Amino acid sequence: MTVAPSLNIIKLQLNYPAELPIEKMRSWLLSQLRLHGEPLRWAITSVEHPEVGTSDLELHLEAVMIEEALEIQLDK
Amino acid sequence: MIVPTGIACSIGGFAGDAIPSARLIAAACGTLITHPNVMNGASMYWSDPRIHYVEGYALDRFAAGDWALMPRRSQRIGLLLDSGIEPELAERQIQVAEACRATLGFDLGPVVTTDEPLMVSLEQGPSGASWGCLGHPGALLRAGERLHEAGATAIAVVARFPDDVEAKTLNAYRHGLGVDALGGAEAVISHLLVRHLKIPCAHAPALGSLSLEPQLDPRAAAEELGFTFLACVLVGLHRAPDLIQLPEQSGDFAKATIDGALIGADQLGAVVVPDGALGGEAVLACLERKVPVIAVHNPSLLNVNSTALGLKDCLLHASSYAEAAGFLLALREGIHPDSLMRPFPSIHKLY
Repeated sequence: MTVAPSLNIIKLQLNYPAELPIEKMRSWLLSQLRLHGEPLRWAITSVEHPEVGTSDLELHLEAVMIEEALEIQLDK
Repeated sequence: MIVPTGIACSIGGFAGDAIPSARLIAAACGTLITHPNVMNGASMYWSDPRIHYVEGYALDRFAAGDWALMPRRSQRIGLLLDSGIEPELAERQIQVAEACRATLGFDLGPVVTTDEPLMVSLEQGPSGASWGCLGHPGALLRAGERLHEAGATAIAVVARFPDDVEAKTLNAYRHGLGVDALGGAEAVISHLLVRHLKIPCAHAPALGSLSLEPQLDPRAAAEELGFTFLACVLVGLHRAPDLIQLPEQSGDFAKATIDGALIGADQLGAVVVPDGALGGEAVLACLERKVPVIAVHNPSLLNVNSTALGLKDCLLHASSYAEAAGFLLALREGIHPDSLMRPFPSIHKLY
């Protein structure tokens, strides 16, 4: 019985709440990424500042995600 | 020291062209932890006992405090070959391994071939960064498990990469203008294996030979010297540290780091990173742990810099790796970097 993962490349746009400090950014991003699977490799690839109404940061991420399933060999 | 792969960094975006900077940084700080993209120069390599070669996924876990590093004198390196590699090209890889055994004295073996082709595919994200995927990631993990069970303590992977990298992309790279189209997929392969086995792993691509390019950029020249890209990977893995997963309550391990047996994230003195690439997990983990970040001017495709993230006052900005080395020396000697700059602001008063 081995792990049989599949990999997906995703792009995400996330608004990082202005009230959260930079020290919380990694754990916040991981919690958001985990809504889509298990992150294998990821990075913020651009940041935008929305012009009006909010001081949130608009973060653009690119990520490779893993979906895992167990591969079970049945006796013939 | 981090130079992310596949984002066309001016220094470190090519074939081991960040090695001179890494050597300088290692001399300045005494112990440098860095990753294969910095140290791999195809047929060119540099070995320095002050430099610890740690694959990117492990580097992220280390920076986050999840894993520690245990320095080793040597590793027994297993060679994992993609069954999609043609027999002659596979034999070239094995001959590099034999050369490292005979000429450099490495402990190498066994060799395992995957039970089905890995089917590497290349992609570029909206940012222009290179990414990639595997059609059969389970085959990679099964072959890695076989090597580990056979006694390998580190694994060098060679996967067949598609020869049809778009001519325009390849030409730009060879002329020093474009992104390393293979880098993103290489990182995915090594990340997957390190995550699964928790032992040092690194990757070299297998590619058909290219025609001579007289206008070759010197930074890409190391990739044109031989039939393979494997020698640097074997040299890096030879003395790569073991990866030690820390338990949630890591009191004994904290003692081990204090005793000097392990290197832990609590011993990080600074992280050196391109100023536009602050959005990776290791850098964010360092910001979380309040490790000083030295952001070096090293243009790339990305502009995730201190201004974009609102970090103006949290970082040290260096115009070159030479200046970053100076900052590291200052930190090591207990000299506050502000005292080396002018104008020199007055002391901050609280009212």
